[in-house]
Amino acid sequence: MKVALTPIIEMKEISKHFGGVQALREVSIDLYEGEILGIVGHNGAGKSTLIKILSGAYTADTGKIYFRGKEVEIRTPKDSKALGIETIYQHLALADNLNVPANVFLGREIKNRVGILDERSMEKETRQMLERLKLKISSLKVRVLKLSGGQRQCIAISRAVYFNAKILIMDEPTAALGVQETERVHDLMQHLKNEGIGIILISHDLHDVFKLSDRIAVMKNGVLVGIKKINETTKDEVLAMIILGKQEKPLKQN
Amino acid sequence: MFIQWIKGIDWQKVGIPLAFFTLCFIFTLSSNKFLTVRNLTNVARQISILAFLSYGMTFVIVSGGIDISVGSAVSLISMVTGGMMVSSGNIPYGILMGILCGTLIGGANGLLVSLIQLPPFIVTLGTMTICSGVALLYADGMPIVGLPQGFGVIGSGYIGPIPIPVIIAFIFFLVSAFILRFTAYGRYVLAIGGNEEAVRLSGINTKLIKLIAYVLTGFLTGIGAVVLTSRIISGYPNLGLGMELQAIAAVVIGGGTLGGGYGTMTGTLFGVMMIGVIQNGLNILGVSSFVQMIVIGVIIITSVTYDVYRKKRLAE
Repeated sequence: MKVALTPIIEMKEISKHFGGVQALREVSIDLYEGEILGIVGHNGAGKSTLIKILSGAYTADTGKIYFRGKEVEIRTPKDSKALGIETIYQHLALADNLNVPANVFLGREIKNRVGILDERSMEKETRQMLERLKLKISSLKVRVLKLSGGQRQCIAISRAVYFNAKILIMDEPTAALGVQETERVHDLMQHLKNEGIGIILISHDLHDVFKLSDRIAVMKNGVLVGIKKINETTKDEVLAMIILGKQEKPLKQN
Repeated sequence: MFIQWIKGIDWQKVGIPLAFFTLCFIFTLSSNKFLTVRNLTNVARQISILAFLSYGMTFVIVSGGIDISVGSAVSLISMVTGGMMVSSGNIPYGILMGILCGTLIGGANGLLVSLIQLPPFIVTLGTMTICSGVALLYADGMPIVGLPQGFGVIGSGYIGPIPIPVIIAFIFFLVSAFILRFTAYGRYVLAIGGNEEAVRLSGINTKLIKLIAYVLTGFLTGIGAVVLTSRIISGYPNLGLGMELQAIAAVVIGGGTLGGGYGTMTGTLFGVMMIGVIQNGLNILGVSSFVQMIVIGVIIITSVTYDVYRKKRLAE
């Protein structure tokens, strides 16, 4: 899948400061179709700022963003969504009191000609979507409240994908989940990757990042330390990059 | 098999109507005056006013808000309707001004809650006091009399055997229930009550949705107040005293949860009927109105307890 020559998204020399604090200094990353790019680093490394610029929550001071090789401007979350960039938030972005189709179609309900909600069509499409993504949910009519955390996160993710997301930004998608539930979300991510969706994964869990990512970008103090292909690096090396903020010659003495 | 059947019952849906009909049954057994066409017609007319306020309150409560200004709004709208009608001699003009006044009060509440993001309880506590004050100021605390007699038809007239207020209240029930259950707007109101942030992130203008809920409440309160003013053919500065609490009670008895996310118009209608029947039944049995207040209070606490219990069970 990774044969596309131009990245689906490319952020070039992005800088951003808040008051006197330089949050990002000329950071460049790129993402290809069907690729998972992990971004790791300590708190305050600039990971969140970087993806918030991509999702339109912040605007960069300097730097450029290219979508499929063409320069684009992302000023608002709407601009970002229009490009097919969807963000999955750490907290579950679902209304627990509504059922699955109501959540999936929240804000883009299917209505009939007189404006009445077409529950049947929404349910049918939801079922098709879940089948396509190989998600098993016994009853769509139950309130989301009754589903497990993993199932809910999967619904939030598939919802984003279903409406033509090309790029998914996931900020700690499994931080609140148990082992089995995390597994469920990982399976879905793998599946989406196979469908050609590019995923940016931010996680504190190096184990997860290594398991899922194709490449890992390491950040420290607002600077990109380096990007490593997963099969050309080790956890030790990445850890050293996170801690030292340097690429060459990590701690290898013991 | 019987146990299976019992377990299969959705108590959330069946519970309220069941309690209502049980209550009616008890009153029927206790007094032969209860189950008469005349008495039931009378109850229906009495509760139709409360119904208008409660429909609006359902939207607001389901969206996670509250509006305690509706009672005082009724008083003010009554004064405005009466005043305008007397000064102009024009019935439709007075009615329109009354409904407009209600809608504006709702709009003010809605703007303060959604745009400035003040807590709804505080905002409507403020507007409640303001409305009360203005209503009293309007005619120096005196009622407004001398309204055109023709105006009384709305509150006291009949179409066939059915009182006109009941018919209007039922039409608005259908409209409100339709909006809450079958339109995207209703869906958003419920969703906001469940997780406002999620709704906002879905690209929905949550502020507008909430604003509309308060405007709807104000509008419906306007209609209720005009009907009640017509019933007594005068503007009365204390007309809506305590009605906000009854409306909130009706919604809660009907399964609406304070804090939002749950509630149906049918439930609210049963809540309204429940309050009406309890008051009427206890009146017939000669129970003092003081004791009635206690009874209604106990029922509110019971239904909230049930609601909390249900939520806990759902969360397991």
